[in-house]
Amino acid sequence: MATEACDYKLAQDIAASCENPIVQGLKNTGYLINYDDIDWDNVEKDAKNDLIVTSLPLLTGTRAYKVYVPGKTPFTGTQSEMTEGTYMNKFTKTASIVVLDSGPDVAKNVINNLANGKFVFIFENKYQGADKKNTFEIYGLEQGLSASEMTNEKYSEDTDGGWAVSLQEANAPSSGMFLFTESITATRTLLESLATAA
Amino acid sequence: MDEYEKILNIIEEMRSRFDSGFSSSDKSTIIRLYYQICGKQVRNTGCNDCYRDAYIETRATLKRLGQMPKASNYVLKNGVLFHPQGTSEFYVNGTITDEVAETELAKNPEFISKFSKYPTDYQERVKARAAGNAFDEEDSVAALKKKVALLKGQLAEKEAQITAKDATIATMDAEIAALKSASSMPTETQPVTEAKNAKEEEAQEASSETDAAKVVTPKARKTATKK
Repeated sequence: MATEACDYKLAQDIAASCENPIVQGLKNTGYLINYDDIDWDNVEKDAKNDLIVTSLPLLTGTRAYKVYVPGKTPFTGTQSEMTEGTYMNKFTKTASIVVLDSGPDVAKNVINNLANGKFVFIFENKYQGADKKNTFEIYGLEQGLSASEMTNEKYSEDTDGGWAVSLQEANAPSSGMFLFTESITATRTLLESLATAA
Repeated sequence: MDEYEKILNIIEEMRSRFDSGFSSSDKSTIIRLYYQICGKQVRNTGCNDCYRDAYIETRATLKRLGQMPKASNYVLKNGVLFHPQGTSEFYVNGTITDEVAETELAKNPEFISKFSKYPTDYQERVKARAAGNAFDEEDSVAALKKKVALLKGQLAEKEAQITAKDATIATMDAEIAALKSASSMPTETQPVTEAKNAKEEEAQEASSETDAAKVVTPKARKTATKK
């Protein structure tokens, strides 16, 4: 095995776009996918930038599930932060979602599975970037997201008795991964296809 | 009642609620039919106009097709978008046609890994498509054009046959008319014929008398000589 030294050097100026300033926050709809439902052998990435996923096929009979969170600041708490490592620094990504529903079906089909499963979460940034490639970001594509905190506070003013769920991906090598193929329209079509009933 | 009429009836029945707002059951139906007929998903399920748009598109598509769209034999995996080079078309899930799938598979056999559903004999189908003998020949545009040309040729041939038959019929009609007129002649011409016949008989009799007169027996000749 050849010895390889990773070359971590800046490759672009750090600047702020005056024409297209960054905008904070996320849109109201995201997509959750069971980690094991992804057809990993056929996931494709951009040839020039491997942090852009161009094809995210799911195994036959599986689908992504839409997550709709109303309000002006949906998915509050969703963030990515660096974690210092012994040899390499990694990133911890947290996806915060609320389940504004409760009951036996939600407990069986959603909450219990969120508590024990591994997931990939795709969400839509309000800031699309000049080339729109920043629009859809993916958490959990490397290590998978798993539940780190789940609360069902009956008198919560935030969730009105629903569930607040934090899913976390620890030790992810990449600071950010994005979903983009061809154009933003094509990417949206691809996302819709992910959520098609199998 | 076939499926097309059944679906069209469901759509027409929902029309009365187009302005007032669709019920939740209507919305589920629209989601299902929109995907089944147009191969698309309702973008935003929280928006009433999105359902109206999907309803209009579904109804228009169904009426334009005049039949239920034929389901493709190939279904792409969820999360795969296929964009054939040199076109502006995108295909996801079941929107890909057999023709597009098989054409691409002929160029890139590994493309089969992108499908969640495909015929077991897809390799034969791909070969047949490449050779111009697609299994679903009746569905391809080129095949339909060929079929139209063939039907036009057959139509022209039949029309020529009809014209020839018409001409034959006209000839036969004329002959029948002639025969009819011929068969109706005796009633008018009978007296003339009878007169003619009588004349002929008289002429024959006269002739036979003359002949008889001309015949001279030997006895008579002797008598005449003695005189």
